[in-house]
Parts: sequence; structure tokens; C-alpha cells
Amino acid sequence: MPIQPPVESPRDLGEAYALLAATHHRPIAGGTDVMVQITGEIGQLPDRLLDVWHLEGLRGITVSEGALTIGALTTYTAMRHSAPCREHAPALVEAAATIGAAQIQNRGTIGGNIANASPAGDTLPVLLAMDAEIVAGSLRGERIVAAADFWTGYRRTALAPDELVLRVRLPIAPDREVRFRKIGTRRAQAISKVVMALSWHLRDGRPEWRDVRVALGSVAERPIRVVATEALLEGAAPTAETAARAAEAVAGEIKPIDDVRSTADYRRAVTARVLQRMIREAGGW
Amino acid sequence: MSSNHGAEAGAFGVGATAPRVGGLERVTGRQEYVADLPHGDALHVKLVTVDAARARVDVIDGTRARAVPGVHLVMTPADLPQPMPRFGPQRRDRPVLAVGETKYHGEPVAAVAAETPDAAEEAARLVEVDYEELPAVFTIEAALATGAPLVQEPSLRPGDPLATTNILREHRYGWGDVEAASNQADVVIEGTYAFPMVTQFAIEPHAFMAAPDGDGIAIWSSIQHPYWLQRVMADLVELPLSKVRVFAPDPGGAFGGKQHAKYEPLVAFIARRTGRPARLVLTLEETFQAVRRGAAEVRVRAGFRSDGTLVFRDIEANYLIGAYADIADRTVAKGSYTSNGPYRVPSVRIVARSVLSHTVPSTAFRGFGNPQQIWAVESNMDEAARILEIDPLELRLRNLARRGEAFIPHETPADGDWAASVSRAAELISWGGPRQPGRGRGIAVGLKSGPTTGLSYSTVRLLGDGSVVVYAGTSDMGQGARTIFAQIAAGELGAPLEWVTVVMGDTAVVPYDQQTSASRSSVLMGNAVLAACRDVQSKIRTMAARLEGLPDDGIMVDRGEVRIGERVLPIREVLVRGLGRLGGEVIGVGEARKEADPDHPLGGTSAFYEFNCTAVEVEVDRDTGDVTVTRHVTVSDVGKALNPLQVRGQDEGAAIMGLGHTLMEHYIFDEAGRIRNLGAIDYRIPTTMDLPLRMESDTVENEDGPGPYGAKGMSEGALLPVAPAVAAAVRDATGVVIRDLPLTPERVWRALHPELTGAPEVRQAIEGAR
Ligand SMILES: Cc1cc2nc3c(=O)[nH]c(=O)nc-3n(C[C@H](O)[C@H](O)[C@H](O)COP(=O)(O)OP(=O)(O)OC[C@H]3O[C@@H](n4cnc5c(N)ncnc54)[C@H](O)[C@@H]3O)c2cc1C
Repeated sequence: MPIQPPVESPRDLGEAYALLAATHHRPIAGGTDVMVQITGEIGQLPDRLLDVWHLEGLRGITVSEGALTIGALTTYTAMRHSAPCREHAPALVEAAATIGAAQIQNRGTIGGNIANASPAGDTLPVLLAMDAEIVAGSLRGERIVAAADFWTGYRRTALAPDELVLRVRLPIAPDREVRFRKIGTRRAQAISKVVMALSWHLRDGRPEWRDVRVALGSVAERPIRVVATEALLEGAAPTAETAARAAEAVAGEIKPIDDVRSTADYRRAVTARVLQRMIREAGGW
Repeated sequence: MSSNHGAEAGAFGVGATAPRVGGLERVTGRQEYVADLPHGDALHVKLVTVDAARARVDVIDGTRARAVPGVHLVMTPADLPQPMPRFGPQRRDRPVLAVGETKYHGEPVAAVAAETPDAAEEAARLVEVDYEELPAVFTIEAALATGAPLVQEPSLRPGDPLATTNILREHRYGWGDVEAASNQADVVIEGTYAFPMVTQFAIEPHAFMAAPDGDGIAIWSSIQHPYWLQRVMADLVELPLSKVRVFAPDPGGAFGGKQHAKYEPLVAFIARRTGRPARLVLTLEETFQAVRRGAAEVRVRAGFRSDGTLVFRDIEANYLIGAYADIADRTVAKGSYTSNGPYRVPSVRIVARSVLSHTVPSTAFRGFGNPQQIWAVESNMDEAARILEIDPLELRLRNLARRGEAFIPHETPADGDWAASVSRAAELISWGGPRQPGRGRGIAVGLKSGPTTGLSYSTVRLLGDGSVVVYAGTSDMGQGARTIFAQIAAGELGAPLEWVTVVMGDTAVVPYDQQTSASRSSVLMGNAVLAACRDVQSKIRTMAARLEGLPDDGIMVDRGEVRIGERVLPIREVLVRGLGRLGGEVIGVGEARKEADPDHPLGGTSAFYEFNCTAVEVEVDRDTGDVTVTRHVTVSDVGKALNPLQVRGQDEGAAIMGLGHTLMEHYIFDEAGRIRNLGAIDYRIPTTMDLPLRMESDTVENEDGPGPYGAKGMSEGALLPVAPAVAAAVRDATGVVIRDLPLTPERVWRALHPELTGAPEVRQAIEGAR
């Protein structure tokens, strides 16, 4: 019998913060991870739930101060329909479109994907590749955590127990390109075997890549950036030789595991090929 | 709609795409499945299992479980009659609860009955079971090894020479002389092909309920064979058939997995012991542990002349069935008997074994033992085509049996123009046309024998206003049987379709039907309904003769009309006048039989064959091994499409189901025999996103079947050749031959990059016989 923890449904952020400060509550947004964990008895089960669905301050998509800001409660469907998201974060929209199917996209939120911290969370490599900033809040106030510092271990985050994810900020950089690719166990409702996001900047019309990010999911205990591979790509042009070297580097840099969905061999080889292919497509050869 | 029924009459007779009877209820969630039935004071049952495959059960302690509020009974083997009642359609080998030892992961050792599902679930966990894991066998190789632990106690198999092995039965079929024929072959192609363990995955999980019913018992089950279940239950609880009433609400998908009794006996014993109704609704995970298809390893040796003519075929198939026989050994027999396929081959030898293992009992599943060997034989044909340098299409056409040919001696001869289906599929996929780079095409055929025996009765009542009630003991599990029977009755008796009610699923009301399987119901029950309509028509004729003062033979009644000389009257007009002031109704009865033949290896010849040709085009991503089916063409010989849209639905549904075991579905076990991908998260069935980019289905209709208006059974055919067609297309696109299913991206990728993994999948053995 699934546990039936008590649920609080605060109407504003202050009330939510107070409840979180008083006793431990597990936030629940769309519930598409939490409910599966409860009924499947996966991991540490919550004693109390805090339903954040009514906190309007966690909704909304805005563009200001050189950034696209997406509220934590924004659903995948909302992102897919949002003109600013499509304009400034097409790779994120692409990732959103691969998540679950319509029912999950209508209910699942980006804040949930971030806080759930699954190594297979599909938006997370995109956030890493875009240098996203995650804004967390509590009674103590708000603070910003860089995506690169957010996921600290297997399903662990930099959030304190009383903190909520409020929104995610994506710097807008007109000369930045971002690519996304997911290899799943099938084409829909699929948990990723490998998920990758790649980004780079072009400066002054030159072919060399700057500020390269290569971010991966499902190949480690948390979403990661492969910094050695990034360093190799930094300042390089997307040639066949670069692509081959990057493929080799990324295969050496990651240490994926065997599980029921895939094997380490396959994940490593496919990651290398996917990266090589993305570079080839960018290079247009 | 019903105001002007004269105008509507016959509009949806056979051959028309009548709307699905009950379809709206199904898709809007209004249909009541067993789990939806009002259950009032029923007790909720939960199974108690142990976390092991084979385990010796030492102590079952229900003390803590009984303390949970609302718990009425912790049923252990000791609470059941002794010796433990056993049941099964082929052998009485399955106990109501495990006796002394579990035989597979998920086999219940006890059960809890409580006032609420939650209480039952909580209590089931609190049942303390002391057990010790025992050595077990989960693969064909392990089960056949010398000294392998025996799955079934030899005492259960008295007089059986194989009782001290894990072979439940060995079947041998064939004709000609394979040894002698070996010398006549220019080329011999040999290979071993593996087919995975997959589950039916009906969207409605199995559900069971039993209740004391006066001096008898009532059973509710989402079952395909209610009358067979009635017999099994009558036997177990020692009651006459008339005191066992089986209700079989339309199942929500069955695919063979709901043919035979599973937990009906358990809920019946609980109901009898507690005096309360008892219900059990399986979770999806529990259905994985209740039903599956047999896995198989099939070795094929085929000899060809250099012009492609087949001279012999030598097939050895081992099926990994589960711990109990269920109907699995029958699937092995039937799947093997025709496994040479629709070809003319002078010498054939087929040896097939049902190998017991400590895994979920396998049972019937769409295709019934055939897809496993068709995968092997058709893949072998593709390899032969390549080596002989003959077009794979040509190779099939060259060897296909022609109509009337006794392609299996002493068996129903070829009953269709099979080459027409093959040519149509080739045409639809533009077989010889140019291919895009990176794409490949494959073609394969599948043959399955229909029912070998059968018996269906139907009663049809033409009511006083011209509306009709049809009684048919078929289970409509989504295949659309209600619609077909309604169409037949509507057409024959001149009623609008929506004036026909089809009553099914109650053994106390509806006359006997042997079973709903082998794509039989349109043919056998269809003929019974048609016969019952004819019976009504003959009574209408007598009525008309009486009214007109004419002899019977001056009057004809057919397709809703009464012809009296030049005059044509609707049946209803004669009916209303003929019934007169007292009103009443006209009752017809019909029967359809397919007689048994005791000397036949299968107990009877095939009533008809299902024949299908599938041609596909795929694109293979060399970097990931991902296979995209860009086109899928499926053509079935159906005799006559009684309802073209339903035929298409069945063919396309079967094709997609075939893509499941072809591309993604398989049970994965850990070393202890537990299923690792239990449930929907890691066991993948195709979603709409995984469908072929383009899918076309077509039929060949020569009205040459034994069913109503020349129909043949259909609904399994389009699944049969999917795997070999796709694998052939992958071979065509990449040059790589893969002999193990499913063709997961990872398996394809490994085959494409043997240098990266050091484990080449490409096994080839080509032996020139000269
Ligand atoms: C059928 C199905 C398919 C799926 N497919 C995919 C897929 O393809 N790719 C993928 O990445 N995921 C997938 N998921 C997982 C899930 O849908 C996503 O992770 C989703 O983004 C979770 O959002 P949610 O709002 O439902 O989170 P919830 O379940 O409500 O919460 C998830 C976690 O985040 C915490 N949390 C939520 N909001 C906040 C907040 N504002 N502040 C702090 N903590 C918070 C919760 O406490 C919980 O630990 C799938 C799930 C299902 C059931």
C-alpha cells in the first residue's frame, strides 16, 4: 500500500518558506517523479508533502536583463508553446519535446526536473551547456547557484532542505549555438541511455569555437560537463580532425555503467559518435 | 437513428465497415471490465510471493498479517484440500498455491483476503515466509544440461519416459528423407536463431472474482474461454457444470494470455472458505509473472538446388516454456507442425521440444508458437537468397505451394492464392525500385494453421418488432467479434445494425462455445450465427407460406428479404403479420463444428490457414544501431473481409505487436531468475512514436475460406513474418546478419562494430554439400 503522507498547500511563498523552515517537507510540483517514487517505493519516501502548485510566483517566462528566466513551475508544454523559449532556448524546447509524452509534458515541470536531480534528467545537460543559473529561495532569502555547481552527486543537489527552486536564468547570447540529442530506449516515454548538449560561441565571424560546453546525462551518477573534452574543443574549428579527437577524448573521459537499459561500452561509443556527429553537422562537412 | 429502420436495414451488412459495437464505450472509459464491476462486500485478495525463483518454502507464518485490521484470511497451502488441487489445460500440474517449493519468481505461496485492497496489500507483506533458494534453470542450455535440477517432480509425470529430464515433450514431424535429400542439394544453409521471452501486455490486467451463488459458485474473469474455465472450476470444486456460472465481461485485450485459468481457482477457494465474494486484480507487474510467450532457439538446415529450389529442410526447435505446461506444449506442437511454412519441400524433418524451466509459465500468445520458427526459417531463406544470389522475393515465389497442393502430406491443402499476397506486398513496397542510401528492404511470409477442432453454438431471437438478439459464447477482447456477429444477423434478418444486441459472457445464458482462439470466431461462431439466422429464415418462410396460402417452396428468404414470386417483402413485415395478436418472437439455433481426427498429430486438420506477406524498408543509424522502419507493408489472405476496417485494425495491430518482439521487447533476468525489467518502465512496447513512418495494409479476397461468405480467420497473420522481414531489411541496409531478437539498437550496433566489442554477432555457417 503506498504511503499517504500529509500534504500542505501554501498559497504564497512566505507561507511555503515558513512551513519548510519548521519541519521537513518534500516539495511536490507536477508530481510526475514524486508519485512514481511513492507508489514504486523508490528511494527515501517523504514524511510530508508541500504542494507548490499554487505558488504563482514560481510561474512565468520572462526576458529581461539579458536573460531568459523560466519559473520553476513551468511545464514542458508551456515551454514548447512559449515564443521566448523557442527563440532563445530552442535546444531546451527540443529537450522538452522528448520528455515522456503529452500527459507528462502537461504536468511535469522544469523545477521538478532540476530538483529531482536524476542523472537521466533530459533538460539538465542543456542547462549546463547554457551556463544556466538556478535561483533558490528560503526564509533566508534568495541565492543563485550556477548549474555547474548544482548537481553534486547521485540525486543530490546544492539545495538546503528548506530551499525551493524558484526559477532558472539562461543568459541570452546571440552568438551562441546549442545542440541537443537524446538516445532513448525507444522514441517516446523513454528514459535516456545517453543525452547530450553541446554549445559554443562564435566570435568576430571566425570559425574557431569559444566557451565550448559539452554536457552529458546518463553516463555518470549526475549530469556532468566533460571539461577535458571542452578544453580540447576550445579555440578549435569544427573540422573532421577536431571531431575525431573530441570523440576519442569524450570516450576516455566518461565512466558510464552497465544497467538494465544499456551497457557502459555502448554508452561510451555512442556518446563519442553523437559528439562527432554534432561537430560534423556544425562544420557542415 | 432508429426511427426509420427500414432505410437503415442492411446498410452495415457483411463487407461494410460497420462502426465497432462497443467501441465508443471502450475508448471513453465507460466499458465495465472485471475490475470495474460493482463488488459490494467482496474481499480483496493479494498474492504473497518470495523474492526468489526456485525456493524451498519452510514456514509460512500469517500471525502478523492476521493482526492487520480488516484481514479475514491468510490462505496457505495447508488451508486447501489435500493433496493440493492442480489444474491446467494440458496437464494438471499447476497447484493453486506453491506446494513446498516455488517454481518461478512470482509464484504465490499464500494469499491474503481483506476488507480493503490496502489492508490486503499491507498484510501480504507481513506474511513471514522462511525459504531457502535452490538451484534453478532459466535457460534452454541450463535446463538441458546433464544433472540439471528438475523443474517438475517425476512423480507428477507417471509413466513418462522423459520424467527425469526437463523436457516436457518432444514432437517429431516430417516427410520424405532428409538424409538422402542432403546429397541432392547444391547448397546447404544452416543457422541457429533465437527468439526472446516476451509478454502479452494486455492493457487490462487480469482480474478475477468468485462468489458463492446459491448452491453453486459464480466466477467473473477476463477470460477468453469461459466454457473451458467452467469445466476446470466444476472439476476443482466438485460441482456440476450447471452450478458453476462463469461471467466473462469483454476483456481489454487478451492476445492469448487470457485463454486459460490462472487465479480463478484461488479466488474460488477463498470465496468458498470465507462465504464472501473474493476478488483479485493483478498489477501490471504481476501480469508479467503470470503470462508470457515461450522463448526459443531454432536451428535450421535447408538444402537448395542452385536455381533456388528447396530440396530439404531440417528444423530443430527448443522452446523455453515455464514451470508449468499451461497450453505451452500445444503452442510448440502447432508452431512446429507447420514450421516448414507455405513451401513445397520434398523432405522435411522437424523436431521440437518443450523445455521446462524455473520461469513464468508461458502460454498462448498471438501467433501461437509460430513466430519463433517463422523467424528462423524465413531468416534462413533470406540468407539462402543472398548466398544463392537469387532475389529473396523470387526465392519465395519459386518455392511457394500453389492452391490445392498438399504441401504438408495428409493435411488441408494450400487454401489460397498465396503468391498473390506476396506479389501485392512486393508491389506496394516497390520491391525492385531504387533505394535511398542507408536504407534496406526485406520481405518474409508467415503461415499458421487455424483451429484443428471446433464447436460453437448460437441462438438468435428475432423479436416481435424485428430487432434481434444474438447469443454467442465468444469473448470480444477487442478483436470486434460483437460487430461481426451483429453484421451477419443484421444482414440476414434485415435489421439495422443498432437493433441487434449481441449477448456474450455468461455461461448460464449463452450456449456453449469451445474457445476464443486461433482466429476462429468469425469462422466458427460466425457460421453458427449464420446457421441460427438461416433457422430463423426458414421459420419466416413457413410463416409466409401460411399467410399467403402457398407451399413453402414458392418462397425464398435471404439477406433480410422474403421473396414471394415477384414480390419482395422485408422480413419484418412478414414477421409482424405472422406473429399476430399474441406477438412473441422467432427463435433460431445454429451450430458449427470442426471435427476432430484422432489419427492426426494435432488431433485434427487445419480449418484454414492464415497467410501473410510482410515487406519493410528500414534505415539503420550506424552510430547508434537504431533501426527506423520507414515503410511497413502487410498483406493478408483473408478470404473475405467481413468488416474491412476491422481487418485493417487487426493486421496493423498485429504488425505493430510484431515490431515489439522484433525491435525492443524481451524479459531480462538476473542470476537468481528474477525479472529485472518487470513493468512498463524498462520493458518497452512500441508507442505511437515508434510506429513505421508509413504503414500500409492490404488483403487478398478470393472468398475461398470456410467461414461466412468465404471468410477465413485472420488477426495473427500480420505478426508472423515481421521479425524476419525487418532483420532482412537490416541485412540489406548494412550487410550484417543478426540471428538473435530483439534487434535493439545496442545489438545492431554491436553487430555493426565487432571490432569495438570483440563479440561479433555475425555467425555464419555455409556448407557446400557437393
Ligand atoms: C511516464 C513518465 C515519463 C517521463 N519521461 C521523462 C523524460 O523523458 N525525461 C525526463 O527528464 N524526465 C522524465 N520523467 C520524469 C519527470 O516527468 C520529470 O523529471 C519532471 O520534470 C518532474 O517534474 P514534476 O513537476 O512532476 O516534479 P515532481 O515529481 O513534483 O518533483 C520532483 C522532485 O523535485 C522536487 N521539486 C519539485 N519542484 C521543486 C521546487 N520548485 N523546489 C524544490 N524542489 C522541487 C520534488 O520534491 C521532487 O523531489 C518522466 C516521468 C514519467 C512518470
